[in-house]
Amino acid sequence: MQIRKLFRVLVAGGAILGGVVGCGGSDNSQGQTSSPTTGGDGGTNPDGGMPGGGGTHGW
Amino acid sequence: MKRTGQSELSQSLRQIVAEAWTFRFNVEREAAIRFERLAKRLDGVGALPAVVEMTVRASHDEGRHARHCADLARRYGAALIPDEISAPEIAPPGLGDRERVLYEVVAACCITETESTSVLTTLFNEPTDSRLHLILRQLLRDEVRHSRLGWAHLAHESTRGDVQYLGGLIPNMLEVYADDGLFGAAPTELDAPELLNHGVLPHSMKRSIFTMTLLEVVFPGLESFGVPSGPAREWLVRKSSPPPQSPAQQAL
Repeated sequence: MQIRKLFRVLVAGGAILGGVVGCGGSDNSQGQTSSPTTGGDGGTNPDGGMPGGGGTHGW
Repeated sequence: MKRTGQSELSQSLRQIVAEAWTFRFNVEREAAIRFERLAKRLDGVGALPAVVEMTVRASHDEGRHARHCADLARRYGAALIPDEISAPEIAPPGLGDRERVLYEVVAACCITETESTSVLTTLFNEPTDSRLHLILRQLLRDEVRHSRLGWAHLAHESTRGDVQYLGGLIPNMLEVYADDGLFGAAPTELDAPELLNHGVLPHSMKRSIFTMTLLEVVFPGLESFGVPSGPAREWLVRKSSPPPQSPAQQAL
């Protein structure tokens, strides 16, 4: 399975489970890097993100 | 399928493989605890019943994965001494209940489980011995479900309210990968291609797959549900850029 196919399997598959139909209709799996919501600061600070909060370790 | 054996590995590579499976053993134990807690939290914030059920199942899956990782770590010579492990909440202060749960689900599932699926997909397609191949197949099947449950919850939450606030928080979720040394220089041995046959990605390949998965899956996925990916993209550019040279280095 190629990485690009993972978008359909994971994201689009999850969207259907979540009751949202039509996710990825613009074929985001083609590696597009912009969208109407891309590029905003989303509330971040210049160092990247609000203070606090973390992530989880993976493989 | 090519048969590979531990005898093909040097002692130092064998130790690298043992440490990798030991690390994963702890990752899986932590995930089991996290999913068990998240299942209750998801139920409490009105998540879809199917997502809650998948999260309960994910906790059991991760416990089974931990046992597989432990067996493999021991196979390569690790002396596993299970210590106490915890999985504390990771959301930043100031968020409400629903937002805290969503933050953790996005970090654990949309990012980490998606990245793990990508790693496992790569490893599954490499020649390994039959026992390892079976384990990788089982892990891959499960991780696909764990990733999907995260995207399902984000999709559901995006229909209930604004999720744009997550955009600025994604770099905080990603920082753990930098802390684990993904973007730093690594000893040559960590890039040995033989590692692939033993279920371990060489360092440079691991970084490449991580980056590709962010760009091709995670960032477009976040955008699909209204989470801005700009801050995370900027984070990735910063982490991927070599550190600036000092004047002395530039003069050489």
